[in-house]
Amino acid sequence: MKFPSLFGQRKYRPAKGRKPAATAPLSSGEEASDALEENLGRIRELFGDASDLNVRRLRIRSTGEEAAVVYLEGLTDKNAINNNVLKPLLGETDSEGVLSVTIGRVGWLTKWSDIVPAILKGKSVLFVEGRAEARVLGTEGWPQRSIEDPQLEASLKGAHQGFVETIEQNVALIRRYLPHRQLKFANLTVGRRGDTRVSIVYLADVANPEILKELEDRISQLDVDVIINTGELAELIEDNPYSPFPQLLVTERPDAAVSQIVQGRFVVLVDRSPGVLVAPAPFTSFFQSIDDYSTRWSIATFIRLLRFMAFFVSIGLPAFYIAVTSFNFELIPIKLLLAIGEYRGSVPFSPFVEAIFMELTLEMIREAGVRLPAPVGQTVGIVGGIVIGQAIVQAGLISNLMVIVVAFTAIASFILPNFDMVAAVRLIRFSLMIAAAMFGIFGIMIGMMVLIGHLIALESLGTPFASSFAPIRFSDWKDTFIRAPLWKMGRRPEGSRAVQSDRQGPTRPEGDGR
Amino acid sequence: MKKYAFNEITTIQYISLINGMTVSFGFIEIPADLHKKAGTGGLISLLLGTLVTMAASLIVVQIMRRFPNGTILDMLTRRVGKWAGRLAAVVIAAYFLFYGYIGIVYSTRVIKARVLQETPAYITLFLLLIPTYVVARNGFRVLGRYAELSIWLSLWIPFVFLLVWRHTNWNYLFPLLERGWLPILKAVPDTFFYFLGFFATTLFYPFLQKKEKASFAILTANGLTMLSYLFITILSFIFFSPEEMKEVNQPSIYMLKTIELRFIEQVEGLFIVMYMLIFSMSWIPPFLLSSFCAAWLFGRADHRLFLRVLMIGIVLFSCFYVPGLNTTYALSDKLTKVGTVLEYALPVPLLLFFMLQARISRKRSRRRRL
Amino acid sequence: MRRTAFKLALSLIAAVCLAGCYDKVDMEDVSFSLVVGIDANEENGIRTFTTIPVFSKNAKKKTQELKVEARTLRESRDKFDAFSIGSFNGRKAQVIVFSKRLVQQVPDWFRYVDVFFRDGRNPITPKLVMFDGDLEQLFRYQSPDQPMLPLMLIGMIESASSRSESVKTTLQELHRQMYDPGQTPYLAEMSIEQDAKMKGTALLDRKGKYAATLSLRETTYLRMLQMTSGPAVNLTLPLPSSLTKAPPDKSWISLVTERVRTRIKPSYSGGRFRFDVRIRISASVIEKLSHIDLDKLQKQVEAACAREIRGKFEELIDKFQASAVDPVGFGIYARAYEYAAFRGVKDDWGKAFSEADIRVKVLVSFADEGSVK
Repeated sequence: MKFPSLFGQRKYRPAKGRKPAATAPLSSGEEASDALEENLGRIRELFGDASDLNVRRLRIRSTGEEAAVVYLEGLTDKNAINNNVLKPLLGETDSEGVLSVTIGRVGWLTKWSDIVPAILKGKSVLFVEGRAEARVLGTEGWPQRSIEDPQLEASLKGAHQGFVETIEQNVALIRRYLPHRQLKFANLTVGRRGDTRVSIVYLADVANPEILKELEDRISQLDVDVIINTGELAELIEDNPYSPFPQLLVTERPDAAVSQIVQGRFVVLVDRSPGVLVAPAPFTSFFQSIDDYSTRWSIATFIRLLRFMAFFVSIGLPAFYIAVTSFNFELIPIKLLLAIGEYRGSVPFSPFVEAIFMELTLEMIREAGVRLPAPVGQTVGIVGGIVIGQAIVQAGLISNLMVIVVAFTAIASFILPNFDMVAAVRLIRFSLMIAAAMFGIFGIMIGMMVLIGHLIALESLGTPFASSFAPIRFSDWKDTFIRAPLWKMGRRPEGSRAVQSDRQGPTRPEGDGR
Repeated sequence: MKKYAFNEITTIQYISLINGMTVSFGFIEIPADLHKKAGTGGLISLLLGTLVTMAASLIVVQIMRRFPNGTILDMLTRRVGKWAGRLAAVVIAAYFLFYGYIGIVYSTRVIKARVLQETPAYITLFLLLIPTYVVARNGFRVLGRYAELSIWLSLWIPFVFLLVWRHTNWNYLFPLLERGWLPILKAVPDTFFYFLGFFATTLFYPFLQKKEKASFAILTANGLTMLSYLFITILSFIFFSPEEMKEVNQPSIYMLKTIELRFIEQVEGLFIVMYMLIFSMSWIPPFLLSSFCAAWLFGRADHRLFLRVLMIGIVLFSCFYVPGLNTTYALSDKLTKVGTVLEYALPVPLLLFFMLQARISRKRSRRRRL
Repeated sequence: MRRTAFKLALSLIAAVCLAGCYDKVDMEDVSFSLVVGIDANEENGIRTFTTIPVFSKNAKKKTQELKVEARTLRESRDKFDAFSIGSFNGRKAQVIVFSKRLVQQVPDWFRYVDVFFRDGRNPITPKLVMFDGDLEQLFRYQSPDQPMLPLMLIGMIESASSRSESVKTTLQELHRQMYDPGQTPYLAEMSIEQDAKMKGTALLDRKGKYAATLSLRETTYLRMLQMTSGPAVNLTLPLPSSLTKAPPDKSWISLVTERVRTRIKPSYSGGRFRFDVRIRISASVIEKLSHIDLDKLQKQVEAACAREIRGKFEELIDKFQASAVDPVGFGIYARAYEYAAFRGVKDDWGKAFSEADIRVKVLVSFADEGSVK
């Protein structure tokens, strides 16, 4: 859904028709022949020397026909092939010319362009001498992870099941929360080579059809080799990819995803990726955590306000430090000024160099900690905390106050629940530091004004990214800056533009009902 | 015909736009100006000025109601003639350019005097243009959001000013009629300067989401403007002794300078800088409106080209010359004169003209039916 | 088009970046002038003193004191710059000390602080002190058991003012008092006798010239008249021996005020202003030397205290009228409510005030008599 605006906003460019000629020697209309040998030869030709391709020749016991089962070794469930395909075929069964196997999903295919992808996705194909069609058997079974606690978004009181890499499982996890027939799935396939299954999940009677159409349009226009991860999809369909802010929320938590679906939003599942997209995602949704709803509303409100404060501390504190020590020192109270002066007097660097140095060090420590295995990871903390923190001050390279500022900034950024938002915050922090180093608090203010101007112009799938504060929607504040008691949230947020906004009935209002 | 769909401005945004444009730096200047012209009785002038402004803005809304789906430019083209629309486009574009230029130069001067003394004025001015472009290029919808957010983020201002409460003395307010009624009445037209900007309604109107609320909204906006002026004026009048008032430029900033907080001292620089959000309302909307008129004149839907030209023009011009504060005051006097004619006086004959035209055409059609 | 515009904007931003940093000066490279002293010199100019902190761990002494002769404060700043390590800067000035000689002898001495008001980045909140003595003495004064001079001065002014024993006139307040026709200026006064000490309040006349000094005790009564006294003012008063049945040296009683309400009602008749001052004090008894029974004689004791306090007020007002100064601001009331009459004497309010008829009425009520009988 796109607003054809008067002033021509950023145009969403449709994919250009630049499909290269298919390299595979496979024309779309080519059909399987009725000669088994010919078919197997063609298979070998098409797959080349794929080492995991397995061709099992056999004679069907009941009919005596020559046949072959073709499948890829690692992608199929050996149990199913052995017990449910080979055993019935080789053993005694009723024989009325039907190839009876004990597999749930079966079908007939005639075209090579259908058969080959089926094999590639883990199905096994049964060719029979004298038949010009192939039996496709749903024997998929690839290496899988069991369902675990989500890594990135730990929760205290929420469920401990996270999404996994298989879309069917993820669908099941969502269905478990919403066994309702209005829960709809729009399935799409993306990727020239990857054939990634993408599924848009929504409540059909609640979610806004315009947004659905826009979302479907954007996804179906994609023309890429493969989508490895949800993050890639997010970047490809975002409204403004040049912005530092994430405009679509990625979550690993089924409960969080469902909570968004119920608010009238859309969730996009991507096969092979444990993250799901939430769209449209307003700015404030990056400050919410699923735990907010399971803790008491007063403490949840406090924590939410704390997060917004942390956001500002995190983007602005080092810049403010630079501004007050190099430009606007009249802001510092006299006693503090004398104390800072004493520290700064022995430091050879200007506050800007000092701040950039420490912030970069912090970023390095953080990045080092992320990738290292847990036992080694702790060493990073020690090196960072003791060696750098302590020693650098004692050596007189960096002032005490700067270390405090950096530590405070880091803590503040850890409070933010969304990883992508933290990344944005880190970038903005550096730009503000540069602005502050050139023009002091005025530079910070210009930076903030640009930030505000950018934030309010952003859209997430055609809905305002800054929704609930620009444009102001006071009714949405119940679940953005604060977390109102649940019984007060009778309507779905306006920001999601739901077509049906009645969320809960007034039957049992609050407390003891008096 | 809904030519300007999808650029809708909500009622709150509209109120914020008009309120922001009118208040902006008036908040800094109005107490001294009123006091100079009418003593503490300036408060009465302010109230009278508000009434006149409310009437004038209602007239503007009445005009626009006759042609709800177009701007005043479309309206003039349709009802009067092509040349009238074009002439109006040129005049309004020039007017808002002038309006915005004064706003940005004034802000530059304040920053130069109070925050960045050694930085050349043109650099400050250029810096202020960066957020201007970021906001203005996206059109009225984003402008509306910017307006409401700026107002919202500036609500702390009155509370900060209340920190000077312990320096105030209500006795300074009296006698109200120190020099009789005449200076008070004479000062009324001078208050118009601080209300200029409601004329933007003539261009915003087709974008309004709820046009039926336009009258209410503009009265609210004027009312809020009056309240903010009343607040700062009363506070200045009880803060400064009457003789001292004559000695101080920009009394609002002077008051800020007396605030002493435990954790932060000499806060005026910080507050002036944060006040830029409101200040910016005195030039971002006008520049956008100006480039909108220019785009209309050339029949283009995209105003950004004109916005860029305007900004580059201002940057280049500023490299050579940025007016001083006194020149800015002189310019604002000119703006007051132009604005009074354009915003207060002109709409009256225009409304009469349209009413007459409507009556004539009604008569004609009735006659034809007969 | 879009791309060129983008590039253009980027290069412009880059140009600004390169051109930035005009106002940048790192804090440790600044010599903050924390205390400014202004004295008159012999050649119709001023002798200025200053204290700047030294930001170095190695320096034994944490401050540096400087003295120059100049014609204006701004000029003295340039001269100071030659002495100081960093760039000299008055934006953090905390205290301004005027010598008594300056206030007494130099007409229009207030003009010298104009730079604080005119320069938008200078503060107008420095606290003001009049120093009775040679400024050199103050700036060289260094007591080993005191913090550095600026902190010492701030502390002394703040604490004396919070006990209502002196006033904390800031530059901004002096500015107001100077320009207000209905009031005369006053500022804290200090001197050095063995140790630096607060002396009380210096009263200036309409032109800013030194007129009189109020002692610490008298200042308390001034603050009560102004309604700026703190919540707890200590008053130690003698009671008449007839009441206490004790010798006079044992008849003292001490009160701590809880709330002081002052009402001033101006009127004008027969070419003379008249002010009815009504002061209501509610106080707690904190100390008494005699054995008087407060339960029985509360009304009488209250009345005796009121009489005593009224006497003090009248003495104080007589002192004001004798020097033709009005630090309380009676003129503000006169202006607000008797404007027609006030307009005539606006330019010489001090004289009109010294002829005014001022009637003081004091009411004392005890809120608490303490925890023993």
